[in-house]
Order: sequence, then structure tokens, then C-alpha cells
Amino acid sequence: MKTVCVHSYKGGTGKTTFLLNIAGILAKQEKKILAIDYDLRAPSFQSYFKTTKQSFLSHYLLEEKDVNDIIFPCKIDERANLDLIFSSMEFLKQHSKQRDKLSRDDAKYLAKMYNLQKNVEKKYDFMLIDTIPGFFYRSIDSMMISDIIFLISTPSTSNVLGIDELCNNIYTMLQKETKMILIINKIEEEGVEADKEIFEENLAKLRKIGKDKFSAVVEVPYFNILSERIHAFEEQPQEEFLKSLQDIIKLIE
Amino acid sequence: MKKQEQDDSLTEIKKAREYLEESQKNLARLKSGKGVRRKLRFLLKENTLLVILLSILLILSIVIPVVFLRPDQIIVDPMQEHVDTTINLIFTNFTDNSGFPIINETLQTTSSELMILSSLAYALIAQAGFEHNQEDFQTKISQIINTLENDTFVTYENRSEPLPIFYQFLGLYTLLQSKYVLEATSDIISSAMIQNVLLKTLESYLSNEASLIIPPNSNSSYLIDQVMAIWVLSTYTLLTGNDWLSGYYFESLIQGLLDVVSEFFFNSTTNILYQEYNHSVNESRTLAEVENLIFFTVALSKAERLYTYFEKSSYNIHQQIINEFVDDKWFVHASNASDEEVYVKNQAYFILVSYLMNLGNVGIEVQNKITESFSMNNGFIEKIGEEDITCESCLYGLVALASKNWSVIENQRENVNIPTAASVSPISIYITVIMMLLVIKVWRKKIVIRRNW
Repeated sequence: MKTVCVHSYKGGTGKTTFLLNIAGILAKQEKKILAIDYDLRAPSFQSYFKTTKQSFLSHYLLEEKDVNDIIFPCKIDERANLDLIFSSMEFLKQHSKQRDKLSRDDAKYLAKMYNLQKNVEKKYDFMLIDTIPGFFYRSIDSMMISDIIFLISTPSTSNVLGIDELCNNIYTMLQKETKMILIINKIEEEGVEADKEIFEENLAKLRKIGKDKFSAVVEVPYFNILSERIHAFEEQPQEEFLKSLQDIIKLIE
Repeated sequence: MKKQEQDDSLTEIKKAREYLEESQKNLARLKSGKGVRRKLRFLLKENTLLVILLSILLILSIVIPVVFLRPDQIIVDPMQEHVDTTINLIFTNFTDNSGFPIINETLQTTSSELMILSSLAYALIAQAGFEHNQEDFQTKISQIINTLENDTFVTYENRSEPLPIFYQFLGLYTLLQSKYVLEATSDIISSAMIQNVLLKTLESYLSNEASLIIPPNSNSSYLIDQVMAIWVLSTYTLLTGNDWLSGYYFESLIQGLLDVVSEFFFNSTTNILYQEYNHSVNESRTLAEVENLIFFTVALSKAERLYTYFEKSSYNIHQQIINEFVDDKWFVHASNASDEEVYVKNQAYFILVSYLMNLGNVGIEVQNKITESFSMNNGFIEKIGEEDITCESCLYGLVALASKNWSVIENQRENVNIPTAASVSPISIYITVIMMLLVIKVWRKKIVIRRNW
């Protein structure tokens, strides 16, 4: 089983859309997929999959439920299945701030995620983790246990600066075996960021960072408007978008 | 404001880096395995020196007792030829058509005593590692035990009198030994059978008033009967681990019998042992002969392992035998070291007892004498100075030849946790203490690491 984590410096980069569409394509190829919503700050799997289930990742982390009790199968079509772990805001309410000193709980959550990975590794081909953007301990946990990290960034100024910080402080410290792939989501933002020159300048910076510090860089068309949909199963899918995702999948298979 | 945000951001990054560094260590520990395996790998990685030291100590704690404190190795005795010729002689000259031993060529009858002695000798030889026809022995032992068991040893069908108590207990001892020979191929001797014979014996001969073995309707009791009971009960307890049977608690029974020996048969002032006590006149009679002392020695040595008490130790009595009954040439005499009564029977039993008490230096001297002076015409003579060879004398010869190897096996079988040289040696204690200290040190280190998590 390969563990893939999708991270970003800021929110709104299309991280969850990217992850679930990758999951959808792999599922359609009859791969066994487990997708985990570990974005405890803004859990959003519920936007894609309506669920009334009340078992979340936080229950497992807080040792209230077993791993098998929080996994929910989702049938996408006749052949494709996707197993999902949802999150709620519960956990964040209890752990709203990173403490000044590391606690034993922090090590426990890393161990819990590691144990989850070990528990499911024979059952799935891919475990995909959606993380909290930024420098959060739980994001670091996800990255630590991953074989492949996708960092998604838009060409906004803050994202470019943030990516640089992430690279210098976090990614360089990760194990060499971890494959790092930069995904540039070419969103054109409003206001100052809408300036074409700034956009191109930031894009160039991102490309340079990607070339210098990542295993691969892939640019995908603006797909913010495609969010909350899994296009591989759409009747009229966005072919360009899907094609770029299939190219990405080749990098991780 | 912007500076404040920048500072916050830097603090966050610093914390994230610290967390990542700590998490990398934690993940490495997790990846190194689960449970004991993980802890061992972790130990090996972070405490290499300590683990190497522990491993060396562990190996030493195993190797030192094995190499330096191991019991005598069982090797096939060069006495093989003596064993072969003697067995051939018994099977050809002293065995009837049904396969039972006969007293001698003119008196072609058998007796319970002879059958008990034969099965004991065969059982010891079979266990001692000599090359022999195992099946032949097993058949003969089974046949004898079957016949004896039908009479529960107490009376044999052709007897006018009950079996002497000495043989009753020797028969029980034989049963215990034969069980080890027959258990692989047959269930002829079950634990229940041994228990039944033991119960019947105790019910028949144990006095209701005192812990005393006494023949029925007799005014006298005998030292040999008490010591045989002590030997058999102690051996049964040590070999089976059972110290209780149908209302009889053996350790207190054994202590009671030792008290009886002390009260009726031993004068502690003069250090004299008597072989008979007349209860009607309250008198100890007849100085104990060597046979009494030999069996008292072995009985006491086994009873001592059950933490019972007697005024003298088994080694004292063994030394007393050497002083009073063994001459300069290592012949064991019947009544004193200067009499003419040198029987193969006493040599054989003294060899057996010496080896059982781990006094191999004595055992080997007497055994050498038996092969030099008693071995004759492919068998063993009964008494020095005479040339009579009987089935019984040959069987004693076999007992003497088997004792060395068999006693090692017998002593190793005992179930009770008896302090041994290895377990109480200073080296073992030293190693155990060091290992305990190291384990405590590692354990404390582990707790500190866990707290850091």
C-alpha cells in the first residue's frame, strides 16, 4: 500500500477536490482506496459524500472507537468502491491550539495514525490523506507516514512565500525516500493577485521552487469551479482536468 | 502588527520543526516493530553497549553452570561385557520355562523377593544406557510386575507367610523404577497402580497409634522397615511431586518415622543404632548391621531434600558405614570391618546408595572391588571366600554395575526444587544480581524516554 498525503500552505488551493478526484480515478481502475479526511480545521468530505454516520477520525484518535468502526464504504458505480474516513470539528474543539511544549498526546496521535496505516496496509492499494494546511502537528504526522506528498499551491504571493518556508523548514527534514510533488493549481485570483504580471511572476517562482526542491512539478488547469464533484464519474467529465490527473497518477503508481 | 504576525509565524515554524524532529524519533521507534520486538530493537539501537553487556551476562549465566557445574555425563560404562555375560547367565541358567527367575539350578522355584529383585535390576540396567535387548527386559519386567501386582505384593500365592516388609517397600521402589522403563511402550504400570500398592502397604503396616511401621501382631518393630518406608515415601514424593495420598501426608509421615527412629532405634549419647525395638519391654535390641545403615543413609538423604529433620545427616551415617564396616580394601562387611561376612548384596546396595548421594568417589572404589573379586564364571558370587553363584547374586552384580549411570538419571528426575550446586553457586548469585540491576536501569531509562514523549 502506498500512502499519499495532500498538503498545502494555505486553504482554498483545491486540495480536497484534487485528492478525491485522484481517489475516484484510482477507484475506477479497480484499485482499493482509503481516503482520510485529516483536515481537522475544515473537514469537507461531507460536502462530497452525504453521510449521517457519526463516527469520525477523532473518535479513533481519542481511542473511543476502533479503526474498523470509522471506515465507511462508498459505492461510486458498479465496479468502483471508495472507503472513506470522515472528520468532524470535535477534535479541534479539544485541541484548538498547538501547545508550547510537546505533550505525550502528540506522540500518541502520530502512533495512532501509524497504527491505522499498519492496520489497513494489506487491505488497500492506496491510502490518501487530506491534511490541515500549514505548519500543524497533525499535518506533520500525515507527512511523516507518507510515501508521497503532494503540495498544492496556487500562484498567489502568500502561497509562494509559504511554500518556500515549508520547503526550507519541513520538507527538507523529511526522509529522503519520501517523494515530493508540487502541484500548481493555476487559479487566477481577484484583486492584486489578478494582476497578470504578478501572476506570471509567482508562477515562475513556483516553477523554480518545484524544480529545485521537488521530485516533480505538475501544473493543472484551474479547477476551483470543479470542486465538490468527482469528475471521473461525471457524465460529461472535464477531460483536460482528468487528463492532468491521470498524468499525476502515473507519477505515484 | 506585521512584525507581530511575522514573529508568530516564526514561532509556529520553530515549533513545527521541533515537533518534526521529535516525531522522527518516535516514528523510528514505532517502525522498529511492535511489542517486545519493538522494545528490543529500540534497546539495541539506543543502548547498544548495555545490550551487549546483558547478552554476555546472559550467555555466561547459562554457560558457566553448564560447563563448570554440570552433573557427571552419562557415558556407556566399560562394564558392558560384565553386563552381557551376567544377563546371559541369568537368562540361560536362572530362568524357568515361563520366563520367571529361579533361585538356583537345583531349587527351580521362584519367589516374590527374587521377582522384585530381578525387575529392579532389569529396570536399573535398562535405564543405565547399556546396550541390551530392550524388548526382552520390558517383557520380563511386565510379566513379573503383573504377577506381583495380582497379589498386591503383600502376599504371594504360594507363600505361607506375608512378604517381608523390606521387600514390600523394595517392591514399591521397583514399581517406580519399572514405570520409567515400561512407560514408552506399555501402560502396565499406572500411577493409580503404584498408589494402590502404596496405600495397601501403609494400611497393612503403619501403626494407627504412631508413625511406626510394624509387622501385624508383632511386639517388635525393625529399623530396616522404618528406613525402607522413609526411602520409598521420599522417593515417591520427589519423583511424582505428590506429597499427599488419601489422607496420608507424606512429609509429616516421613518426619514421624524419623522421630520413631530417633526414639526407638538410636542412642544419640553413644551414637549407636539398633535394628529391633521390643515394645512390650520397651527395649532396643541388636546393633544395626550394615544393611540397616545403608538403607538408612539413602532414606535420610532423600528425606533431607524434603526439609525433614534428624539428629544426624545422611553423610554422617555414610561416613559411619565407611569407618565401621568398610575395610582398607573397600570391602563392605556385614557386622563390622573385621568379620568374614562380605556379601555381594551389601556391596551392591552400598554402591547404589553412594552414587545416589553423589559420592561417586566411594561408589567407584567399591564397584572396582565387585568386578575384581565377585565376578566369576560369567556371573557374580554371593560371598567372598565361596563360589556359589545364584540368580540373586547375579542380580546384585547387575545392580552394582548399573548404579553409576542410573543414579544420575534418578537424581535429575526429582521434581522438588532442591537447592543444587548450580542454583546456589556464588557465580549464579552474582550474575543474577547484576542482571537484575541492569534490568532496573534499562527499565528506568525506558520510563524517562516515555515521559519525553
